[in-house]
Amino acid sequence: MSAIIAKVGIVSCSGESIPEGTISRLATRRVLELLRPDKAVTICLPLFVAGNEGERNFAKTHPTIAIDGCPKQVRPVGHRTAQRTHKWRDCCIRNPGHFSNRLQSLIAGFINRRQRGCLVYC
Amino acid sequence: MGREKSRAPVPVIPCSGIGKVHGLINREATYLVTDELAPGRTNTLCLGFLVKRDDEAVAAVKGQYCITVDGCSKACAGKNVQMAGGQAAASIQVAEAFKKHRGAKPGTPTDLTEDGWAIARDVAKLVADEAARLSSEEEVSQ
Repeated sequence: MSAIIAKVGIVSCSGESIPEGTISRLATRRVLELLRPDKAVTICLPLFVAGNEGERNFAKTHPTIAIDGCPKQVRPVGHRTAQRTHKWRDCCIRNPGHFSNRLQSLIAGFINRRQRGCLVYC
Repeated sequence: MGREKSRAPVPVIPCSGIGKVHGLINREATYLVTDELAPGRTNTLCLGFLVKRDDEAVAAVKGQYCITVDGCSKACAGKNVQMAGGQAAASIQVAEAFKKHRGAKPGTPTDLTEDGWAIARDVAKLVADEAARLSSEEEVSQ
């Protein structure tokens, strides 16, 4: 019997009014396109928080990594919603600041550990 | 609408699309407007705050004329502005702007090509024109 490992979902802040939003977005895109192209997927934040049932179920069907650009942590609101009904929440990365390269490797590292079956909570 | 409110910059709120090039086009178009075409007359705020119903963000749009820029037909920006009590003076769809650029290769959600930037500039011009119209109407009504 083989275990089916879902792709890891990255739910990123795309904050339009702060540089950290752009950094989070670009880091997420780089992970999807360059670092872990076959192992990760993403979803627009508004759809994840307020979309239809399929979109809100994203955290049920994917272990997720949340990236927040500011202390207001828009993402964990969606995660709290998800947590009530779903078991997945692997990690949250907060306030990436200007460390875009470090952020990319953090995300890639989490995905690696997840793919090896290790849950990561922080 | 009071004098102070009418002089406030017009909020331009793009969607937070991350999966398609449309999301990057509306994001860059918004920055073109707020940084180059209409600085001071427009500003932007994070759509995520509106989705979360953050008090500060809701206060910034409540009863205020806003311009929303959406990348897909789900119109997250337009819907959330309305739900937060804002009035969408214009709801711009990036997909509409593509009709003037048939066959264009706009790039990826990470990088825009020259075609992509041309579409972003078209969208930005639409937004800036609408912001100018709103400002002039407010000046006349004072």
